[in-house]
Amino acid sequence: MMRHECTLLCALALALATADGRAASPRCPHEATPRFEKIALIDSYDFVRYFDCETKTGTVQVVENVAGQVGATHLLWRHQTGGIPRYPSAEESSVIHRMPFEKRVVEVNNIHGWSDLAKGETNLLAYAIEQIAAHGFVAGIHHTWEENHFQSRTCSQWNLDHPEYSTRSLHGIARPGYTSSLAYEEVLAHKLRRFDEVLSTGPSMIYIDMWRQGGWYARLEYVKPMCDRWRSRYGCEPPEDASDERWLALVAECNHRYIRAMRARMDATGRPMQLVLGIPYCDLEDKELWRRYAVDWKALAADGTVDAISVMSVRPDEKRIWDSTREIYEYVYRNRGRAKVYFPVSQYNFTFGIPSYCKATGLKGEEVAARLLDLAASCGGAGVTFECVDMYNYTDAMREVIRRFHR
Amino acid sequence: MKLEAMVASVVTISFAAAPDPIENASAGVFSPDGRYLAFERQDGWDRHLGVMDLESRKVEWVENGPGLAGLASWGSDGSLVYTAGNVTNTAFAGERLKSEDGFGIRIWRRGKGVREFTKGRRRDATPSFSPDMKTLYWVSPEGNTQHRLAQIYMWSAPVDAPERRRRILTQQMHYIDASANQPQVSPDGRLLAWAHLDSIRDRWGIRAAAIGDPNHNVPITEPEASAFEPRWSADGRYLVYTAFKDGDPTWCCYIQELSSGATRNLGPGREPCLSPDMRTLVRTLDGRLVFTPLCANDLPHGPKVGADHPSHEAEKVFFSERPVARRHFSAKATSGFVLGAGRTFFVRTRIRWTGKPFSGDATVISAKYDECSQVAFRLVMQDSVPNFWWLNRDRQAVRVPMPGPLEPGEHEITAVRTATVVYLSVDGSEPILQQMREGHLPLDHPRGMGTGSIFERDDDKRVLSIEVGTGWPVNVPKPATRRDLLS
Repeated sequence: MMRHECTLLCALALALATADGRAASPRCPHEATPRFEKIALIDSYDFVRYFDCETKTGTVQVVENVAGQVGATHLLWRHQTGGIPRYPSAEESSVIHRMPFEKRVVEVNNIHGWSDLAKGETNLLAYAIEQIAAHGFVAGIHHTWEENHFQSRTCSQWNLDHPEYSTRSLHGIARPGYTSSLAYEEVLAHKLRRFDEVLSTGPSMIYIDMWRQGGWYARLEYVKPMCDRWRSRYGCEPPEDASDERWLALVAECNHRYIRAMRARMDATGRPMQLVLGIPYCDLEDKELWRRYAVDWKALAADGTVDAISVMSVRPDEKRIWDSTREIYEYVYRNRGRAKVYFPVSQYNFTFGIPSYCKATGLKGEEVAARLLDLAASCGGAGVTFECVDMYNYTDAMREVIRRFHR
Repeated sequence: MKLEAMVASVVTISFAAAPDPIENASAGVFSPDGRYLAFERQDGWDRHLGVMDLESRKVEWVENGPGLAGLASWGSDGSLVYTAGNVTNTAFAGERLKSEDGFGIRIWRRGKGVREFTKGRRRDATPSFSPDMKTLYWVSPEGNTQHRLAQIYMWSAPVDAPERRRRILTQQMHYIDASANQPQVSPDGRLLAWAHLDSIRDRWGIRAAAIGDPNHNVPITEPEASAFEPRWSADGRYLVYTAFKDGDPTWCCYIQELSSGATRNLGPGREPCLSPDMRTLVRTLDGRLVFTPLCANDLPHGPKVGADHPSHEAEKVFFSERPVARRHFSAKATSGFVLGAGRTFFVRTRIRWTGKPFSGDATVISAKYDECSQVAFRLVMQDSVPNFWWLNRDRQAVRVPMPGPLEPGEHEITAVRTATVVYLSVDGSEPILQQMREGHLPLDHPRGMGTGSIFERDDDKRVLSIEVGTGWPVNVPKPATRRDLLS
């Protein structure tokens, strides 16, 4: 009965959501009619061998394929390949297919290296968002922190054109073309112009992915404005140890300013939109994200800058893996502030996904998926995220378990 | 015609004053006689290639149709070699249709039109001739059979037989995702210089090698610089290139005297090229080509470079030769063992196996700097291919693989780390090289070498000994140094 009611409510919510062709996503973190959210992160590039993703037809095929896989409620579309937008951008050039004309290159295989999702006349990102909503899902952007796929070196043309804003190690080693420092006003302005372009495609959710950061770390923030700020504040040279708490706090000021500016821009649209912060490497020490990236998720959740915290991966004690995972989940939930929390059911194993649980426990993938779903729901999770839904990378049995799951 | 005669026959033109800038243009390259300039012009999605007569300012368009053309170099006989192509299909459709649209290499000569050197669904780029016009060098991701990320290989082929005798020059660059780009042959035909990506730190530098052996190369630019787009001076004494160093306002054009390493910043811009008389520099700046007069004082000079490797003999820090299936070793607090910049450090391991090959990733030895640090180095047999991993305290890794698997038997695997380079040698072979990701990869650790372990393997696979030390190890040939190559 309970499940039936929930289904009805969900259907009603869906009908309301799609009445204007766009899903309603209230700013309030706790929805009036909560449903267990299933958020699929989608990299359309992972489908380019199966569908012509450079066309509107192929875009719809990806949407419909993912929609049929895991019973998702939200579909979040990746907005860039490395630093190259997947839509025509006034702020950034694409030209992937020119490789190796410049020192930019995308992963080389028969298709990836030739795709250019930004060249067409249609804004395929906007079209994807439109189609996701038209299919009855909450449409959002999987917004990587910096240039994802950094090993592919699809560096941003803007970053490449501005080596003077490059991040810089303590020893003065810059990475021209790859990551720029938010300590520069010009970089912040550039990133926000890019963000405005993303917002103009009409998403209802922005998911900031802190794991896909293009090799950027707080220890690469020894740029002049940051160092000057340090000297002015503390009257000495910046610390050699980038894990110095005061250094991290200084870097965090820039990062938080960026995230808060994103929030402000979302609010300024007047459209209901949710901002989600995806955090990797969660453990009970809760230092990894802070030490690596100088982002204080608890502060951003407490003041309402973000509507949700999405645990992207945990670092459990493998000797007591489920108890340990539960403790981490409970820790994040306790510290969620005004935000809701999503937990991972991730088939990607870059950090600690389903394959790692299988290896540690001897369980089958579908059994792990079921336990992760149960754990997410029982620990207060508002939903789960699937990182990422590719072409049937979740097995038949996993997909069945996930589709059937209701809180 | 012999090379010397060919070079001597080129009459160079000098200008009384630097030519006026060329608007909406980039990538200028002087012809061998200095009269013409090849350049690129962007027009919407298309990029055209033209040749300007610098006296009359008339432009002859080599390519001005739809698509992209550019990345040109001149041959000593006045031929222009470049990359061109027009991709009209989507990637998916191109794959399904087995389309032929891609980027190939073309050769143009005034009055003789264009010849397609390579064509098809490929991505060949940055071609250049050898001075005798017999060989072409270029780069391409073709040959990336392992689907590694973003690898670009250097290729060569005789000009008259592009398909038949095409070959990859940089076969040993199979480590993570290193790439070679923009090969340029020195005017005497002895050396090859190119832009080299040094693994996943995503930093570019210029490297050079003897023409026939690019796998054994030396860095030209300093580790602190990110550098690419090299071009030789006509006399072969200098390289100009684009670089960025800490403190530069943006990309700048640099010039380096190769024998000394003396370097000078010639000002902001990209894609520098020297006129044959070395009195004019052309560079791309703010979307146009700018010509700058040079005088003798602009050319850097310095004493010849010294040896790259420390000359002191190896100092043994730790040695164990008793074969034990599983054990830990410790060399804690060994005096004088500081893995700082400028120190050479080696790990030599003897292994023996008699039975089936290693399957998958099998860690043979593993060590860390101290009890608290992450792994410092590992020897991993990856399907019987030795891979040496060097990690720093930030868990940044450099991997040096051998090109192929070892046969069963007894083998001595030696990894050597210098200030900027990691080498790997098996059974005294010529060491192969992996450049560090950063010039100052923080491998140094105040407490020096710590503990390690030798992993238990099958009964037929044993670690016979492990030796750790400083200095260049005996029985490993020293690779060619910059001094050997350039002086």
